[in-house]
Amino acid sequence: MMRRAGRATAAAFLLAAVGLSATVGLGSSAAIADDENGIGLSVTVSPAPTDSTDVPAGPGSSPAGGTGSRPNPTTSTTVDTVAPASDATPVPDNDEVDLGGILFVSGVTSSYDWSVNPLDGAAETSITVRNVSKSTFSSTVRFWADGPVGNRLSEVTGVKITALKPGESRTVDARLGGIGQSTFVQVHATVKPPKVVDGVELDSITRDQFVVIPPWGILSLGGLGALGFAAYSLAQFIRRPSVPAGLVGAPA
Amino acid sequence: MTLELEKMIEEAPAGRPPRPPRAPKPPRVPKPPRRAPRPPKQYAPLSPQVVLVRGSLMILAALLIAFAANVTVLSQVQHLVSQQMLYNELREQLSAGTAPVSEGDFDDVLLPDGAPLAVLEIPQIGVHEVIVEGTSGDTLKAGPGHRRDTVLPGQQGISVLMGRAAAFGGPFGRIQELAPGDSFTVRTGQGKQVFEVIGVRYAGDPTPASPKAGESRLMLQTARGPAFIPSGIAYVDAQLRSEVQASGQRQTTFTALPPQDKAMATDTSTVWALVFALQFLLVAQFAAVWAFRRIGAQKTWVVFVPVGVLAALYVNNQLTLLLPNLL
Repeated sequence: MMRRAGRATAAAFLLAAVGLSATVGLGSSAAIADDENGIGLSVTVSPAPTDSTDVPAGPGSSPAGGTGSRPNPTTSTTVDTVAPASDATPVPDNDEVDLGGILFVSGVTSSYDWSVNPLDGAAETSITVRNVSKSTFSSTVRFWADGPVGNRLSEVTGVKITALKPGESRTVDARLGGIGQSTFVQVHATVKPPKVVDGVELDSITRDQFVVIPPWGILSLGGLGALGFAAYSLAQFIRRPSVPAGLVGAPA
Repeated sequence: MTLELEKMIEEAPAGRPPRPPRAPKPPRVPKPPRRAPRPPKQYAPLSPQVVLVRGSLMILAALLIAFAANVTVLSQVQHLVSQQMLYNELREQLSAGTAPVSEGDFDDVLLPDGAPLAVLEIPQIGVHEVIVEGTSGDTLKAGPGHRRDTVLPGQQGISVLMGRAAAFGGPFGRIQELAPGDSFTVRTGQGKQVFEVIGVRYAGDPTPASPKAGESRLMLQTARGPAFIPSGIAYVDAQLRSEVQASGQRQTTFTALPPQDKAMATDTSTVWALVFALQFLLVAQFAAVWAFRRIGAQKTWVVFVPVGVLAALYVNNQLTLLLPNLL
């Protein structure tokens, strides 16, 4: 009896110790948050913006140099002083494109198009190109797909983007076949613009995308195998005789 | 009476001939075994060192599995919970007109890491996320983060938002699918800001020209490469199409930005907490072994499964901070 009571006390102590350590753990996470805030507060340049508030925001001032636009009278006047600054330099209209640069592209987007043949299947791949220069030019795009060990699965070259006008966006796509059961596929697209546009030298631009395609062929084969094994095991279980055979016969 | 009955019975047509008495069942003769049964294998008793090594490896394996499950599965749930709480907080602030428009809050107190700032909506790729202040690994668990030294989205200048590509909801996992010309919105304390995508670029590509005075640019950053195996940074630039808002005051400059807030940075500022978490795990394991021997298996399982899971959670949450913040 005494021993059991001793065990119970020991268990109670143990639980208390664990509870205490858990509390310490929780406390530490709260302290993490406090500490991080501290890091955020420990910026040494805090007086600098106080000085900068006295300086009126001019047209060439840095973006961080402005003041807050909290809803109170002083800041609302500051907002007004910012407005002429934007009037000083013309702001492009909503329809106007003034981004600088020559050519902008999107990332590669691809979707899997499955086929009944497990060794076939394709990735419908597309990329969008936008001309922001002042002249019309043509480009070519090369699409290709690599398998999990870097093996080339498929390639489509020479997809043409003819006469892309200034401000125009165009999406080109290609069907990369032979994806098969290679589960981890990397799809790439390289846009090759003319060497010089508007006096600016251009280089080709490559975009990548990593796609995971469920290997449905391998999965269904595995599933069929598992089903077959289950059916065989069930049949064995049902056909198993309840009385061992070979015991019928006349007594000797 | 009885004679008549017996006579009737005898005269009645016989249904089945009476069965002959059955021969007694022969006793079962067990089949002689084809070969002698194999004796059970006798293993040499394990030395205490081997037991220790085996136990440690088992705990390590369990921790690794728990770590993978935490990053791939549990992190998504954590992100959902954080987003719901942040959205509730921000809606309240937006309706009261107290949502932040600078690095300080309505009472001129510097915003802590993880404070909600704005709602980012990109319908083309199904993104509806509350943006938080700060971009350290711990902050980006809750949602996309706003780099402290840049202006807010919609304000004059360049604003930078970073988001995870795969873990913790992977809010920016699909931003590379945005095409030039796509538009999306960010709702801040200054209203709804409409942006138009300029393009996607990788590190090393030529950048768009710097915005002129009175222009606002938004830059989304995330990791590129296979999910959970980042190989670089992808950028999506966007230009403001709605009215430019006044810039709010910023205390943090790029030089003062904490190193763990930069793109693909790891956060080693709380490694001390990892040490404590590991100590807690170790204490829990020792206590479990002691209880198993002294109190019994059943009670030990009931008590130490939740304690062990809690310890594993602490350790894994700290380990996640050692991964790149855009993962």
